[in-house]
Amino acid sequence: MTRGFSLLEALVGVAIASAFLGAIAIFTTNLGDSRARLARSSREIVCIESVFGAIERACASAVVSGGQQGAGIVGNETSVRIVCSTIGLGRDGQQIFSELGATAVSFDPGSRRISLRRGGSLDMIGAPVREMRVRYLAVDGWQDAFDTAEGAGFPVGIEVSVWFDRASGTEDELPADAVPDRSRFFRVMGAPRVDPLAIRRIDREREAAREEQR
Amino acid sequence: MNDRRDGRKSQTGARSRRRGGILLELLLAIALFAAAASFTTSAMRSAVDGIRRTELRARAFDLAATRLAELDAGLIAASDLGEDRPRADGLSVRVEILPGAGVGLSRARATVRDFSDAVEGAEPTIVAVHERVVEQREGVRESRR
Repeated sequence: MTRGFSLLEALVGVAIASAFLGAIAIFTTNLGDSRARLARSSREIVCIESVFGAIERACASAVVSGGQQGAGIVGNETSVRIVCSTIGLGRDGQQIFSELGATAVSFDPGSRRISLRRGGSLDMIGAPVREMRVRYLAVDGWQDAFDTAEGAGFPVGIEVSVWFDRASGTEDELPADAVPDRSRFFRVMGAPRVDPLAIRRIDREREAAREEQR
Repeated sequence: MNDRRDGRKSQTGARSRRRGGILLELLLAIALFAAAASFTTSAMRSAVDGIRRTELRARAFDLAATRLAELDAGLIAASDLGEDRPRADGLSVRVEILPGAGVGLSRARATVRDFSDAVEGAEPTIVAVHERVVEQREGVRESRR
């Protein structure tokens, strides 16, 4: 007759098995978290680089009036549209220089996505975004909206700030002093410079904003 | 009689050998799992560190490009050129004007350094260097190192 395990042996076996299963559970959870973080971060980097790259290229070749394409730079706090000169393909694949096109970037708070329209193509950016804010630097200071058609020409530059949606399901509004995850200021080629008399006021506003952040 | 005793002893020895074998197998399995887990964890940690560095470089590039665009836009005066105070994320940018871009033009270089994990007394790591040609005007002249 074969002897069974003693109570002590069974308890030791159960303890080893629990420790082993616990270690496996912690390991797989950590692995899953790291994998999700890697995927999210790489998606955010790729997505925002495509948005910033498109705006930078458009700002480098922006035109004030694009005929059928509309006015040069038009935008508000959540979207911007830039008419710029592009290179198109004509008959037999020949390049047509100075063809005009429009690059439009807009944020939809409902779907929490940024859409990027270039010419006839529309891309929905994959990374979820909590908020995108666009500001326009005119010769006399920052503005929340800009329209070339109102005789304003070009803004000195455009600032785009993006806060990614990393905790899904949060509906509360973003605090005013929240530091953006990515932010870049784009200089519009051919635009005037800031009025030197306005610089001191702009600096004061910037210092006040920094103090608020602290 | 002696044969029966010998048979019992050999049975007990075989059982203990088998139980010893089970323990050895368990220990071996745990060791293999620990080795595989540590290897995977270190690989995943290095990948996470890599993506963290990539994020840092991307933010550093944003900072450098922004500062040079501000310089070109006339937002930065000559007196502001130099090293900024480190931001909340530990990045600090230094802007300098270099010669050699052509008549009426200057080469501006922004160097971003990371103070977040800098050891006291050691030079902080340079995470991004960005150059841009800007129009030379009053207030934007070649800087002395």
